[in-house]
Amino acid sequence: MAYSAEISRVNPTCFVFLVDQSASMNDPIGGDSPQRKADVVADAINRLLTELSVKCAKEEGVRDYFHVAVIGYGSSVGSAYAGALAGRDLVPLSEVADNPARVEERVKKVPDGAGGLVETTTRFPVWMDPVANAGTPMGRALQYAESIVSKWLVDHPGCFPPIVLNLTDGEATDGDPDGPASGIRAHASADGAALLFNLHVSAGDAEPVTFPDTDTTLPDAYSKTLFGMSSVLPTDMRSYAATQGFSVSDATRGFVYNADIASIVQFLDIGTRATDLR
Amino acid sequence: MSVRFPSGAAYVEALQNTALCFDDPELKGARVELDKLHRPRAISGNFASVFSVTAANGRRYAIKCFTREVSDQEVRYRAVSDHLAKLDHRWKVGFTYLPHGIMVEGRRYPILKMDWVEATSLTRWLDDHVNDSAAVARVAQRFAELVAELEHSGVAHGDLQHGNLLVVGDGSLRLVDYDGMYVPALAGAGAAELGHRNYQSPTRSQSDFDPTIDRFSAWVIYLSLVALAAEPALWQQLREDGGEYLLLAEDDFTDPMTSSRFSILLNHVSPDVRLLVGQVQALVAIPPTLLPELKPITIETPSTRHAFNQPTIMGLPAWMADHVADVEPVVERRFTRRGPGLIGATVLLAAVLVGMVVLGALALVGPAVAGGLAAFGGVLWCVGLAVSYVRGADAKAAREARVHRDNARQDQVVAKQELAVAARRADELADAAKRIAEDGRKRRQTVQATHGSELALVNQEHSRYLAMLATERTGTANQLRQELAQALLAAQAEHVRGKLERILIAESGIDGIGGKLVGNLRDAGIVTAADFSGVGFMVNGQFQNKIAQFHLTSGYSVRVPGIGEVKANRLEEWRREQERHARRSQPVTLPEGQMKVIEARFRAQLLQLGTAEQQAQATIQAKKTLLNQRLSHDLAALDLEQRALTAQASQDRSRHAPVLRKAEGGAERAGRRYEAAVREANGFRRITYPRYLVFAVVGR
Repeated sequence: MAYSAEISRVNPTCFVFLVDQSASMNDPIGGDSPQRKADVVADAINRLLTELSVKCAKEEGVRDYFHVAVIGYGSSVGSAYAGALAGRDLVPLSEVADNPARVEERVKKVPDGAGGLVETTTRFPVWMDPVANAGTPMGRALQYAESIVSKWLVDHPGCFPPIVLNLTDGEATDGDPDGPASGIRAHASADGAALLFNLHVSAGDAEPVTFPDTDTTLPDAYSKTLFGMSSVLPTDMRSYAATQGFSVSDATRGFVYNADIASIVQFLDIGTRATDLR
Repeated sequence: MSVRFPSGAAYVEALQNTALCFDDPELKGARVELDKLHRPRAISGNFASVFSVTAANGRRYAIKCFTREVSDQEVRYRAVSDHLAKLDHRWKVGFTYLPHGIMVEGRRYPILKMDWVEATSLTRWLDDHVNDSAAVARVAQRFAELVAELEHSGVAHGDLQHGNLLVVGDGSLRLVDYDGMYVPALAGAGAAELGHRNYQSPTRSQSDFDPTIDRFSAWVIYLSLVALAAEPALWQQLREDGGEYLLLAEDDFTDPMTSSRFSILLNHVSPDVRLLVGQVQALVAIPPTLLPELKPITIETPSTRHAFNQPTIMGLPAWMADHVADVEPVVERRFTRRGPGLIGATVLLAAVLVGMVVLGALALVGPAVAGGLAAFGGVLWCVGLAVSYVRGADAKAAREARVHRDNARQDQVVAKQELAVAARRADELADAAKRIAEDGRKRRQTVQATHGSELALVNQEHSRYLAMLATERTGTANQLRQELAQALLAAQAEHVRGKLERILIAESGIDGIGGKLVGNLRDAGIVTAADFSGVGFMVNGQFQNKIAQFHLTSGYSVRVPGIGEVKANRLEEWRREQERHARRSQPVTLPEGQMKVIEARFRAQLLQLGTAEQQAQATIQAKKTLLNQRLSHDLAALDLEQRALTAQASQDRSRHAPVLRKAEGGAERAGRRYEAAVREANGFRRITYPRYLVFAVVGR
């Protein structure tokens, strides 16, 4: 069965995050939030890296179940890590976990449980800063990810298939991204084809959509293109999405519109066999 | 509707303010252990993250925060808690289920508040202690006891594995993580999880939920521990560093016949372990509920295995010790009896001396003559006594004793040399035996390492090939999708064309398109809405107006006399409206038949890929089987050769043992004889010529 390979230190897999850093990312995201898209995306990446680190933390520290790249695309295409990891593509997760560029103290208003709000400070590790300039060379970025994935697969032909997660507002300026996207999905390990997921941050104020199985509810051509580029969720991930309350079908794709995508990390199984969840 | 649980990172964030996130009075404001980034340090599994929290009163807890829903979690924990309360087992770790224990982003979620255990997970413990065979054997035995306790009380843990088995400093075991635990009250509830993949029967399913669900993993863990106790080197040989298993993993269970780990274990040095391995290998085919209870064996360690009697090399054999005689007291010999000759000679000497003194004093002879005669008498006496001494029995005995002593010394030197030769030979034989054992171990390791790398290569190659097939499969599937999509597009276009063909311009009453223009259009080949696909305009430079051109479906563009920009646009708008209308009824899926035709074309390719995959599986099976057969064969041959060499070596040693013993006895005896001879000779210390002279005069 595909997508059932053990993710372990002996048999790790890779995660490639692609981050849109084009000028359009300066625009605010849709809905009530006044946040810039670039900030939303940078936060999402930093949260994803935190999520992965926590998920792989064991008693002796973070284990290298994954090797992770963060690739930005805007004025150029390349590593978006800041700080000690700057310039590097795939980095073992333990090294990622230990080396954020900095840890910010963020003040947040959170519910106090009694109907009110209370201010609290949390430490938030930052690996990547928001950037927004120039065009959107999404095609080139996807090709860059493809080269990382294909190189990884030469050394790890038996791994859980690599996962590429693209965070963008969808307006590619270097042609139709569908071709390069299918280029990524065409690579496979013995356990199945590489997975491409997309997070669409949009200025549109349509309802957020998480893991849809059709593009008919999507508001614009960009989101439809990104949906079309996204892989169908493998069976086990789909089951976990279902237990998390998402409605899923055989056609459910790894696509999210203006919503949280960090939950994708929770869908990954490490060690334990997937239960036959219905 | 299931509950969406917070992620691990969300808990890390919430736990940065324990005064806010906890309700429990003991936990409110408690101190959380932090990581390098000074954020709460998580230890995560697939279902939860655990944090170490120290309350103000100094008590430390492990707080388990759930990241995935477990069905009937509260009911399960309550049942487990109630049942465990009745048991008096050492492996237990206390816990309280708090259904609303933590608040994350304004919502409350359950937590498990567990007593903190200062302990190490089994794999980490083995990393540090695997060479302490006695300790490993103790842990194996304790594990068997723990399993027996669980069996006895009708409890099953559900996920026995290295991460849930903790070793405390005193070597006792603790069992943690009771999420999947079976207790009698939960009969029929179904398993909440299926356990770690490297510890489970390949056929275990969610419906298996009874007191037997631990049995497979119990055998696997126990086998690993006893195999390691007897042969610690297996820890390096059978595991990749960081592997999430002990000595056996999932692929060994799904395919035990091609498993090289099983092959190596089946050739284990201990016959008892070999038997156990055979049993475990057979368990793979048994339905989980019919698995037998764990039966512990007598555990061997390298020291108990090599404890057979080594020949004693140094020291007296025990039986000889009693036979060594006590040292006799030394008799000091003296001159005893003065014979008449001796007395006569001495009296004569005295008379001569006295006579000479008298004669000299009376001046009857010159003093020189007197002195000379006295001296002559003296010399004569001495010579006479010398002759008497030498011929006497005492001196003869003394001489003999001394000669005897010197001979004994010589004998002892020879005996010591012989012993040294024999001892050296014994050492050589012992070294040879050690070398044989060491060589055997090394050769065994080499065989296993070679096998390991060959297997890795085969696996790698296989994975590459499968990856290639998977790539092809993806490509084929993509092509299929594309073709289906294109076919659908074509079918839709055909549908639209069919509709438009039936809509005549002449009958549509388009504003301003009267009979003459309809005729002009017909002359240009445009009769229905299907006959053109759009209009374009050319700018006429001379008259500064736009000339309309109709794009025909044939690909040509034509001008139609009498139709200018306005009418052309109107026609185009009309055509688009007709098309929109036609689109509404267009097919959204391909007709079944057409879909089948296309799919059939690809099915052949996909089938071929499937066959290739199956063949690849068969090939790798065959390759692995071959490798395993060779490994087993090599190990068995090595074992045979090793046994012959060891037997030869121990035969050599036991043959040499009497030689050595004889040399030791000889040296011992020669030593004692020499000592006795020395004593004897020392007894004649006073039997010397000067003392004989004194004796002759004074009689003592």
